[in-house]
Amino acid sequence: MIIVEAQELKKVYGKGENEVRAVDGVNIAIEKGEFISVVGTSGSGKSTLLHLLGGLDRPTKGTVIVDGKDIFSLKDEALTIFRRRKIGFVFQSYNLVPTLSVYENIVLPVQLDGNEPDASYIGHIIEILGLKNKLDNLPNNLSGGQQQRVAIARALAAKPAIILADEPTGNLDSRTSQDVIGLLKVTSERFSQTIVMITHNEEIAQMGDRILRIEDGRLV
Amino acid sequence: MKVANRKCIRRMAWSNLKGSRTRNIVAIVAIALTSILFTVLFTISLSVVNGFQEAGFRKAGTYAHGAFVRLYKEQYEQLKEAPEYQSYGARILAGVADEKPFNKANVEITYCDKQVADYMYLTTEKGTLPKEGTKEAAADTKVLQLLGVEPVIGTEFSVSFKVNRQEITRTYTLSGYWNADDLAPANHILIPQSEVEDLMEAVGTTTDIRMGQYAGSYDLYFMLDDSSHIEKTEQKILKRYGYQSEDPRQDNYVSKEVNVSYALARLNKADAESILIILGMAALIIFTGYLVIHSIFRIATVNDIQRYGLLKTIGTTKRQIRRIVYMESFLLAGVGIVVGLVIGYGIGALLTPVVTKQMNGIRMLVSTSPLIFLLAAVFSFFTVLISSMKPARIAARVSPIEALRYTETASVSSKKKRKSRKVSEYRMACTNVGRNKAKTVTTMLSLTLAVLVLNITYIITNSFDMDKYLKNVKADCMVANAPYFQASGHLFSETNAVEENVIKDIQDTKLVSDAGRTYGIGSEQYVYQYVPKDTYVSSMENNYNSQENIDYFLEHETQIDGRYESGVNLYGMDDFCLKTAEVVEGDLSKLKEGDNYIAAVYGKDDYGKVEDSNWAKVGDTVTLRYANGVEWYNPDTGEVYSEEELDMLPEDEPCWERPVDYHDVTYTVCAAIALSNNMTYRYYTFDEFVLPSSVLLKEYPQAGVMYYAYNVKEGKEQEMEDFLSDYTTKNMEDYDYESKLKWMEDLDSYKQMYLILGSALSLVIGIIGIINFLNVNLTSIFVRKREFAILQAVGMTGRQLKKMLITEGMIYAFGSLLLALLVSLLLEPVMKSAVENLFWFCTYRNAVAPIVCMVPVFVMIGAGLPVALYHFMVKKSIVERLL
Ligand SMILES: Nc1ncnc2c1ncn2[C@@H]1O[C@H](COP(=O)(O)OP(=O)(O)O)[C@@H](O)[C@H]1O
Ligand SMILES: [Mg+2]
Repeated sequence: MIIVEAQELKKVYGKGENEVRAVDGVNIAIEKGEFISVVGTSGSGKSTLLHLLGGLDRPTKGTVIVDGKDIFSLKDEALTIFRRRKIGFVFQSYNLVPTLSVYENIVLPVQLDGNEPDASYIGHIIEILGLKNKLDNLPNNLSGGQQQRVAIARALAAKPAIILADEPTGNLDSRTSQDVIGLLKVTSERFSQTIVMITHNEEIAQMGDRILRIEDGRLV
Repeated sequence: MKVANRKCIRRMAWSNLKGSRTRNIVAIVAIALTSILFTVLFTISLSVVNGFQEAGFRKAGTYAHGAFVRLYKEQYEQLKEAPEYQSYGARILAGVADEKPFNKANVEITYCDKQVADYMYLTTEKGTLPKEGTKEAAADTKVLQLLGVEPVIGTEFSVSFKVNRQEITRTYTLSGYWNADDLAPANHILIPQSEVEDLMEAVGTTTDIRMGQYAGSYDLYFMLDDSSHIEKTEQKILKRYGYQSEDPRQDNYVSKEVNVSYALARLNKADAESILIILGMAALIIFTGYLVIHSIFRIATVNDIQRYGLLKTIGTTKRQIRRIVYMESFLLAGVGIVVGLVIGYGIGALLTPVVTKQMNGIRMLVSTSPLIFLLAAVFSFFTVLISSMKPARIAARVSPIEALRYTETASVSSKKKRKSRKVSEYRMACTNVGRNKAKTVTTMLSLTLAVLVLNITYIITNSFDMDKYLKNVKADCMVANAPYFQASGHLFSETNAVEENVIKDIQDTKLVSDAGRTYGIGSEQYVYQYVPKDTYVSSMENNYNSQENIDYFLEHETQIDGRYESGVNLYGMDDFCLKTAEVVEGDLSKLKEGDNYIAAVYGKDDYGKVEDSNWAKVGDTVTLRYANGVEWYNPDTGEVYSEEELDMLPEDEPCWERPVDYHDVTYTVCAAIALSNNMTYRYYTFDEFVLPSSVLLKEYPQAGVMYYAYNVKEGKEQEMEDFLSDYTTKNMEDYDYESKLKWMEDLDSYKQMYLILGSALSLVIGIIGIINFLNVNLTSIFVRKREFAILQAVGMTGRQLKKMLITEGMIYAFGSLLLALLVSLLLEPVMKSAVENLFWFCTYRNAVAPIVCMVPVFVMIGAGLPVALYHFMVKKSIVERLL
């Protein structure tokens, strides 16, 4: 079953001489449960593609269908609601809310949606990610690896259709990177999650079911 | 090295400033507003002080520090050489005019040089002072009006006056005139010096001070360098030239005068109260200014912290960093204070008349004293200084490494843990507001202050109690000669009695329903009472007499049946006035039964309690001595003085007064009564008694009408008001009136003054509060830009985000309103006693209406501002903000 599909996706920044085709006519289909690695040189358009797939930004042209829904047909507010239900993000710089505790950060997408988190499911994630003793901490008191594990938990919390991770190990040392990716893979398999992950690291990329290579905004 | 260092720091401060334009503008506006408040405060205060002092000068007739008066020409030539004067001038007396039409005025015909004319406020409004060798004269408008002369330059007019007691009539050409001053002790005709000599020759007289022939005598007026030792300096000068001012019988006697207004200008009790109020206001302004300026500087410093960290890394010392922060503050303060002084003086000049209008006898003059600007600048600068101290310390203390992580959030989340609870936009808002409690509270306080000031203003004006204010007003109208109503201690004089034709004019309006006269004994009329020894002694003690003195008086004072002679404040009242009296004890109706009853007047204290203020109790007998004249005598020798002897009497020679040509009447006190303050002499000198007017007139027909009081027919009050105001300004200028209507207007305009001042103050404080709120909000949203992007990325909708921001704004809005409510409830007992003590006519009425009225305003600010900032923020996409 195809969970995410992009057609003729284009994102152009600037005009005339300054025009940058960050994403230039991308077509992809992602099967449910796939773990896809995206690789490419810096500035090749990886992040832009990911943002478009996740509905964080609107494309210049083309469509993205997530779980059967053309997401750019939605208005901003509806798109945001769709995002918190169907898409989980993991960023390079963790992007946790500094004033909320670890637990509150994790369940934030669920509670923003006005729902009670599924306690056993969340408990399970926390268990796997080894965050049990940190739940009442504030993010600033955690190490980078711990913070990224919180971000992964947050991405999983709403049982989204897909998790989009943009260089999740970019700020971590190689040992921690292995741990974090391992956990990401384990949890996604455990809960049969679909994952698209950008990385610079070939070794990490090899852990994916499929590797997409991108150059100048095009898949190669 | 050090100099180069300083320069470098200054350059750095300067370049920082150039880099943050918005913050500079906000800071300058805040400083300017603070400086405006100070400038307005000092402009009004100093204008009022000046006004009072000027009123004192005008009552004295001059602002000169002092004078040597009644000098021969040679004495003048000698004394004017003293080096102590900063400036001096001469005035030469020619004559006085006290016969019709000047019988009620006190007109002096003199030569004054330019300097003295200036000292005495005799500066021509039109025309010039008279030129030497001509028959020109200048006069004030009152003189011209009494003479029936139009104030037109070049008009010829004749005037009769006395030169050394000899009548003479002269015709002069009007060279100039000026507006007469009601407060001045005399009115003036100024003539050239040549004319003084001419006049003396014409009547064939010479100057002889000892014989009381003052025509041609010189007065030497002067200003000294310093007003604090006027009398001492005068004595020093006199001594140097071989004169003295103690014994007039000696040849070397010179009479000196000291302008008491300068001494009075120094602290007395009323002033102490005003100074406390001014200091209180200044403290309020410092606090207001501190809250906002400190907040702005602090936020600016925190935002710049990385730069300070960097400076530290490259070797800048703590001291230097502190200096950079101070330097920036002072540069901004320089601009803000100058702007504030200019605008503040303008507003102060506009508001000063609102205040001075409420003060009797003060001319509206906005002070131009440099002290205003000096004080305002110093206070404003002080506020900026204390506001910069903490930010300077923060900047100096930061370590280079910390600086990199020192964001607003990090700086406050010293907490490590947080109890996890359900997340909602409301709870997040609370958390956000609670991030920096000190900042939140000061921002709220800043908003609270304005509401508090507004509320206090409202409470004060709302507590103005018309009934209380009018409690002494027992008649719709009272008409009397103008001095009766002036609070300046004029004694009632028979020349100021209300004339019957005036009463007839009032009755002829047919608007009067019920009326009565009250007669009084004038200052040149002589009625005495005889009081028990204790009363006599205690009144002497009250005047700070020594025991020796008291014994001397007891031995020599005239007595009847063991009672001692004393003055008396005696009233003769028509029924209408008598009915306004409150009977404390006894039976007032007995007054009508026979001619031998009298009522004793008792005073009341501020709270309406009757005081034991009259020696005579109900049933006592009171003997009054009605005299047609007095003579002066020496109580030791019994020698009676002639009028000439009286003039030349040395100061230490005893000189007593005693009645001649008199008859005594003894009365029985039938009632103790209290009179409303308005119905009395309006000064208290001796124990007071009331007789029916018919009884008084039978014994003492020369008693004059002190005032005429009456009620006006229903609904005709305004008509009567118009009549009176017209009548006393056009027909009978010497007369004045009080009316219930005018009292009510008085209170209303008083109320208005407080409303205007209070609202203006709360408006400016409000603007300051809003600027503070704006700045805090702006920066707090700015620094959280990225955080909001994260929230939106993980699924917070714009609606939810706005709800969160509005909630934050509401917490500020309602927090500060609740704080205002709380503080005003806590302040209530203090406010109550303060309001009722400060204003006797107030009945404290607590109120929270202004606080409640502020709710919509605060809701608008609290919600509108964050929403506007939100819309500004979301112009950039989430992705852009996430970077
Ligand atoms: N907001 C933007 N405005 C203009 N150009 C942008 C913007 N975001 C990205 N780009 C450009 O688009 C291209 C692709 O960027 P990005 O997707 O971030 O690359 P990657 O993540 O592969 O390093 C780059 O050339 C970048 O400069
Ligand atoms: Mg990237």
